[in-house]
Amino acid sequence: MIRLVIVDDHGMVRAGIRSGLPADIEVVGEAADVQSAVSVIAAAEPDVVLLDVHLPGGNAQAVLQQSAVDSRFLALSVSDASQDVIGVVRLGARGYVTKDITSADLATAIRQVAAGEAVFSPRLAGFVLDAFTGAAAKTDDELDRLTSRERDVMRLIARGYTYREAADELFLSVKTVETHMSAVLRKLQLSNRRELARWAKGRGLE
Amino acid sequence: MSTQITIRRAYRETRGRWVGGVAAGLAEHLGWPVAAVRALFVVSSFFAGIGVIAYAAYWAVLPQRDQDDSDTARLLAFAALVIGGFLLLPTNPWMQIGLPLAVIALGATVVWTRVGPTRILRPDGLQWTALGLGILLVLVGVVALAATGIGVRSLLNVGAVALLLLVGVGLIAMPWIAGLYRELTVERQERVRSQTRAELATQVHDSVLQTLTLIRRHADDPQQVSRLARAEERHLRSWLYEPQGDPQMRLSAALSAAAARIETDYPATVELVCVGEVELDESGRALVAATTEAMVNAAKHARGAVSVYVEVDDGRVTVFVRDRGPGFDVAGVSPDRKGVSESMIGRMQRAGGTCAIRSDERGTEVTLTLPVTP
Repeated sequence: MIRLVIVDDHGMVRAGIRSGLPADIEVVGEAADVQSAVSVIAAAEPDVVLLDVHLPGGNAQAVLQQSAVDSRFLALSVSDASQDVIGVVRLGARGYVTKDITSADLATAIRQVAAGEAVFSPRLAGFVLDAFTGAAAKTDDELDRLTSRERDVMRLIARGYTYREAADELFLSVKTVETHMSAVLRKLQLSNRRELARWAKGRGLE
Repeated sequence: MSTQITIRRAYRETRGRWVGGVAAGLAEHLGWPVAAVRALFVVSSFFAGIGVIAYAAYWAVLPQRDQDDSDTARLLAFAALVIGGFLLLPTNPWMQIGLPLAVIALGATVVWTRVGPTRILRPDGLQWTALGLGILLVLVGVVALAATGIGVRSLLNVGAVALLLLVGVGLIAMPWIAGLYRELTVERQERVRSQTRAELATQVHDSVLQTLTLIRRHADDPQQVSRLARAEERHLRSWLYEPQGDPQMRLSAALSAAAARIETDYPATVELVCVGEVELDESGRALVAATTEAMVNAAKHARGAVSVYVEVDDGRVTVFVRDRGPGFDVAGVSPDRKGVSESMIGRMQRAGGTCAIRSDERGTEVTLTLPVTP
């Protein structure tokens, strides 16, 4: 059983998400703004927080910074503007999905985040490749580079492959693919690459 | 036959005038040379100021022709007339009080005529000069007026007093001036805001409202509704978040336009991810056409979601178009099937690129490559 808190300022969205969730995911709390989100999360200590990027009274940043629990965050947004994606991931979200995701895919993403894995949409993978490629990629800091295997995995995700399909394509185990994804997520959060900083700064997220 | 009666009227002229246009107007009306009329006014002024009084009377009575065109020559002539008029008066007190008054009047006139209330919003260099000159003249007049009472030696003191007075008045008027400025700023911001609002309203009307109307009309057709909603979402999103590129010029803009068309025409969603960007040339346009063909095939046969990934790296563009349809036997496609052999493979080969197709029960993936000069 995965305990979930949904943070979104639209009641319709929360209701829609709740009604589409399978039996193994239990909604233990809901919040519509930053303040209530922080207190609900602190009280419920859920496994996963589904967090809308744009909230009244601040943005996802405030919730991520003020929550001192072990909950894992999955960011949710209608927009897939690059700065939104990069911004929340750099603040510690384990993944990012858009609101047009199907209920089944959302449930899968929540389970992956609960298991400590990273959730990459094709678009997020595209952003990562965009940020880590180009002339500036020649650097000594390994946090600022993707290994060739990580790039291969990212490319397949961007092409619309699932983890399992990517693993088959590269003759790897799913576990190895997941390890690569987590490594990329960590680089995304810790790297000081100018592109990432700029994206995050553009939304006032850093 | 009708007889036309024209009533000839005298006007104050606005063209070619020196002072108020009285002399020019009378000259026009009487058919005299304008110099003669002016001379008459000047000469008669020496006889108890008859010329000046007559001029003033005419000025008050005659209507003005056309629009006012204030110019510097007129101001100088006016100043000369006023000062000259006072110089003609023999008594000393007139000199002492009249001249400063004339200077003050001149200064005020300069400010009023050159710096209108509408122009003060954005004064240019000439208006600043006029303003400065006008204020200076008024100041000199005030000082001269004050100096008549207390003697010329205290002139500097009087000047200081006048300056203090000016500063005092400025301080008193400060809140009013600041308020005026604030009002103007607010008004300007309001104007910008209302422009933005109008632009937004147009955008919403052209897209969202039209689509909502269409959706209501197709309310019993879920597939149509979802297609319309998706197309509108894409449109709005690109307007809100992405800088508009010219689809004729840039690869990603061209492909996202193609994807939008396909989503409108077929019950499929296209997820397009672009990494890197190239300017479109002839072969680039061939790549766009081949990619579009691949997306159409995927949307048509596989339905559901189509993933498109575009990567520009190391002097090469690679495009992957993937669907999760039932797949087909690539080798078994007959060569006369134009869609695959001509639109994709042939087109890419002519453009100097390649086209590879892989298909199995899990779906189909078309890979297109094209060398580009970075």
